[in-house]
Amino acid sequence: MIAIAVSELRMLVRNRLVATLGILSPLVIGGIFILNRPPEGGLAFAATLQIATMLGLGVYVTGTTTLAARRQNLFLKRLRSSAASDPAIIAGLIAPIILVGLLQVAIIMTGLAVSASALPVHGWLLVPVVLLVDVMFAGFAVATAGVTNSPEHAQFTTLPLFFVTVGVTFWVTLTGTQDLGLVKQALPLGAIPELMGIVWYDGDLSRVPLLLIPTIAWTVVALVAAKAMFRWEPRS
Amino acid sequence: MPTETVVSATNFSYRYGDFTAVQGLDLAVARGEVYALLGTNGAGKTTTLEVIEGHRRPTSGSVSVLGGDPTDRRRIRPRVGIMLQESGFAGELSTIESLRLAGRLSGRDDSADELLDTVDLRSKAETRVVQLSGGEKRRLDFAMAIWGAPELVFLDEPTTGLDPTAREALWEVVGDLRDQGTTVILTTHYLEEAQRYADRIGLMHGGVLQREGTLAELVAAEPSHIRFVAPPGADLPLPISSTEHGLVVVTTDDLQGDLTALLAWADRGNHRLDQLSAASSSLDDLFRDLTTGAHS
Repeated sequence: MIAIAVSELRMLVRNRLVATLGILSPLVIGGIFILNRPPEGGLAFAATLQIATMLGLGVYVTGTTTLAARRQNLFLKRLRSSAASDPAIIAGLIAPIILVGLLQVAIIMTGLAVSASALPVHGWLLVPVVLLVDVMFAGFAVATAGVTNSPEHAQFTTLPLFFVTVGVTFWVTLTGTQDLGLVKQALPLGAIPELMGIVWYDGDLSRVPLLLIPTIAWTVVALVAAKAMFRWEPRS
Repeated sequence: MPTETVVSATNFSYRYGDFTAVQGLDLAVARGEVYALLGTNGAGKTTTLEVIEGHRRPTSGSVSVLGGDPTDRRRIRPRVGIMLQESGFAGELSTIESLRLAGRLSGRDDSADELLDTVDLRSKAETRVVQLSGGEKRRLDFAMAIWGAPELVFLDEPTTGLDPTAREALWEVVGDLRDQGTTVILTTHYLEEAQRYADRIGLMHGGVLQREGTLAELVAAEPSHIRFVAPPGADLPLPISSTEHGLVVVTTDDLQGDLTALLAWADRGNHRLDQLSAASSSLDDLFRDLTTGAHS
């Protein structure tokens, strides 16, 4: 797994445009937050949207495209001709994307903290939340790659889930959880706005386990879907 | 003489939906053998190889490799090298990085520099794979398969796209591997390569292993041919099997006896046998007969 991950990371870094944009984009976003301080109460909103879009695009869309490309050019078949196990191959291909996603989110969260001139109240909570969302999107990327015949198709096959997750975060953030609270929180990323509220502004910590349950559940769903839906061969 | 069976398949079949790619195949390859699987396009060679390699599970029947299930990658693959007919590279990696990656994933040790020397790619070590020619990629593919001198090597059309020099060099390495005890199972479209380098040959057509044996065994079972221009109006001493481009063809199981009789007849009657030729059957003949016979 490590050998594959190192190779993937090497290729990522070797493409200077991709590497530059991968780092520059979150830096620019972080810079915008610093220059335009989010309004009162806006930190949680900004953090939620950035986690959803940055990981949705950087992990989910990129992961789906990468796996479809590796399958289409039969690189997956080459890897499967080795002694590496299937989970190790997938983990090796996805790990660099997950790491880059984490790095990007970390840069943006730092920008938010600088703009607010304060550290998040419960910053530690960012770690499990971002990790879970990261792994969830990675799992869904593997699953979606199973129904994506080519990298070109990925821009269409990833649209539904991407818009659902980003849409949910918008909907929940803008309308709150007074109405349909449980329904909203049960949706993918539906609990993230409230969790971000706790992260940045303090809040009822006793609600954290309850809010993490749907996030964990969606991560499990993504991993089960990945196992069930992924295919290795261009033709089945 | 090798005796230990390294690969065995019993009555295995493989189907893609309604299409049967391989049907009822029995195969046994001994340690140290070079076994060539020949056949027409779509004969089922690659599917056979992929099942034996563990890329696919047979629809029915059983396959054993090195005493185990070939799909048990963790146990089997460290002892096996595979050169697929078609497989991708990570194009942005260099030649040596790609080779090292394959080496690390093989579970065996070797020197990347020495292997690049072996396949004559040392000068391309730092070149990105995407910039290699088709033949160079094929050689890299071969180097990946033989990394760490595995016990068993699968080569699916290894010389396709290689120039004659590179082909010779590749077969030399295969010969060296065999001398070290490596078992090689390969497919090829080049009959002369199978003829020259394989210990045993299997001929596939229509998903079925039609014939199998050493070259001598395969050819011995086939009739020989005498060809000549028949003298006008002459009553030939042998039955004509067919005509080919103005030549009569006599098919015989007793080449020496029938040729002697023909020459004696010509001598006695002062007949001239223009363009006379006599030849034992070749692998080409056998292959042609097999495919045309099966088609008709």
